[in-house]
Amino acid sequence: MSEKTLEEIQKELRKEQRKTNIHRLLHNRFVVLGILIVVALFLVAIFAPVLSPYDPYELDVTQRLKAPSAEHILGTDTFGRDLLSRIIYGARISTYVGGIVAVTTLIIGLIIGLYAGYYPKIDKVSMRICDGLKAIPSILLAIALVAVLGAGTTNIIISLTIVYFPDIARITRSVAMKVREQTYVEALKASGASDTRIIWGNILPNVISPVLVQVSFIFANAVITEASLSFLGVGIPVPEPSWGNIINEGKTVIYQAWWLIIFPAIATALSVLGLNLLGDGLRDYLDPLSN
Amino acid sequence: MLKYIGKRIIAVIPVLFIVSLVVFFLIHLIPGDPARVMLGDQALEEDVIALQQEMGLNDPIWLQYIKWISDVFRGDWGESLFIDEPMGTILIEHLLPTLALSFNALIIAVVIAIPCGIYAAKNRGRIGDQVLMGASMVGISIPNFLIGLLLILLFAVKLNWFPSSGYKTMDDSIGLHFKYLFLPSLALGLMHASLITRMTRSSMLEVLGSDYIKMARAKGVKENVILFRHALKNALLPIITVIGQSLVSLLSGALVTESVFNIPGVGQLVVTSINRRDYEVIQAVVLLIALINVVVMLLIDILYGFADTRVRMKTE
Repeated sequence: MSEKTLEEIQKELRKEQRKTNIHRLLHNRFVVLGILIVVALFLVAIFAPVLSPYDPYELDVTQRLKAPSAEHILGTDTFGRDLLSRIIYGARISTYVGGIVAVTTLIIGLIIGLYAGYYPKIDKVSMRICDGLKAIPSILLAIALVAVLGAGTTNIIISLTIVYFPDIARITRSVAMKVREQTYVEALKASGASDTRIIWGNILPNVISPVLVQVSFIFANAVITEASLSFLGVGIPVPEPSWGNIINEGKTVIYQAWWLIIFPAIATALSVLGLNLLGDGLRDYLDPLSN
Repeated sequence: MLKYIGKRIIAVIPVLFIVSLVVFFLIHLIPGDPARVMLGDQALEEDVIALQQEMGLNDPIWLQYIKWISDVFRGDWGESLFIDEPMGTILIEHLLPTLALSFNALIIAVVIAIPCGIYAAKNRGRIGDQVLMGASMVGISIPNFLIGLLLILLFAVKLNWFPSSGYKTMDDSIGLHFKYLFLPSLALGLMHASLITRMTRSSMLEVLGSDYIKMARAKGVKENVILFRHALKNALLPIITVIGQSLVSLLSGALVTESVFNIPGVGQLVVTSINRRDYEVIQAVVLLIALINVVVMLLIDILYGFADTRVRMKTE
């Protein structure tokens, strides 16, 4: 009887805790803003065909470089394509590249980090590789990798994964090393638990929150880097619309058509801002001590 | 101290080894035959075979690496297919504008950031702090090539105060040199100003919350004396680290900013080399920037050891 009430009390306490946690999360206006922006970004990307007023590839030479008007809300580009439609489809590329890179870096980084944190031998080799990769500035490494692999969405994703997985691996490893030293892990070992079970069953849950925070920042960085690569003309090849290559095209007509730079710039900055705010919020929420 | 420096230098060696492997394998990541890709579709078969021979592509891979790395140590960093100059000259010519840009950007960043960070820490939670933190968040979120383009739109296209692109060396004219570099440096500096502001603020806050500051306050020391003489001095170390790291990311940010402003630095060199499939130039640039990066990081570590005995003790 008394056991049951204790359980109930615990349940209630947990519920209350969850409530205050969510309250704490939503209390921060910046975080709410970040969530709203990111959700909006994903919705735009998913419903791009429904939302765009025109076909983003449709050329119309008579309509080239038209300023924003009722017909073309954000104006048209040098080929007379509707800018709003191209920006909406550009959201697809950005979220696709950013999202896939977030997932691939998460998987690769987690596996390497967990095993490096648990086995000192793997640690030595893998962390040196991560240090070496991080010694090359990320944008330069991304440019160099895309240069040799060739432009295109898949190659950008591969390059960005190589550039960013060390971040995840390092964080995972440092947390995993701390957990490995805990008494309960020693107890598990003594009671005959396998290494695999300890790594995936006991260490993994501990690394999830710091890694999730890092993943949201990698998402943001991947969006920035993809835009930068496309802006430099080595990323997403034209005519596929990406915010970076729209801006690159806009740069050639900067004296005539400000809208070709301003609007995709706002789209890029807003998305990255949203992701960064979300990351900051997640960090405060999951790891209140860090602040 | 010597022991500490020695340890740090030894720790750098494996990093450099991995960097060299990455740079070496770049060429081998090219899908298909590198020699054929480098010479293009219309190359003669004999030219391709000759280049294969010259690059040693038929040797086993470890032998190729040993040859390549010993060339690198002897100062032979490869040859450009298009620029008829030694690689060293090409690199230095293009590195100077990049360094000038990065250095100016760093100064702009520090001049803006330190006062802003101190102000934000002093007025924590008040409206000024929130505005600065919001602004710095925006500053971090806007990719620096975008800041550059927005500055061009405002100051070059609209107001016509500064040139929209180009570069003048100091030899041409010192005035023009800075006039051309101002917008690119500002573009690059603003983002790092955001980072350094945030770091200065949090570092100051940490120090301001410590017991000896409370003690000083209790003693009745004036607020400004506490702020500048007691707190800033101790908050400086992490700030210096961020500035050092900024120097490195400034260099890589400069690569993109250069393209916005048509500055003939290493960034532009890389981009034009990609379009010309001049892969050895790309290799050399990556190697050079990585080397600079590693050396700067090493110097920061060593400085840190000088400044803080605890750091030194921990490694020893």
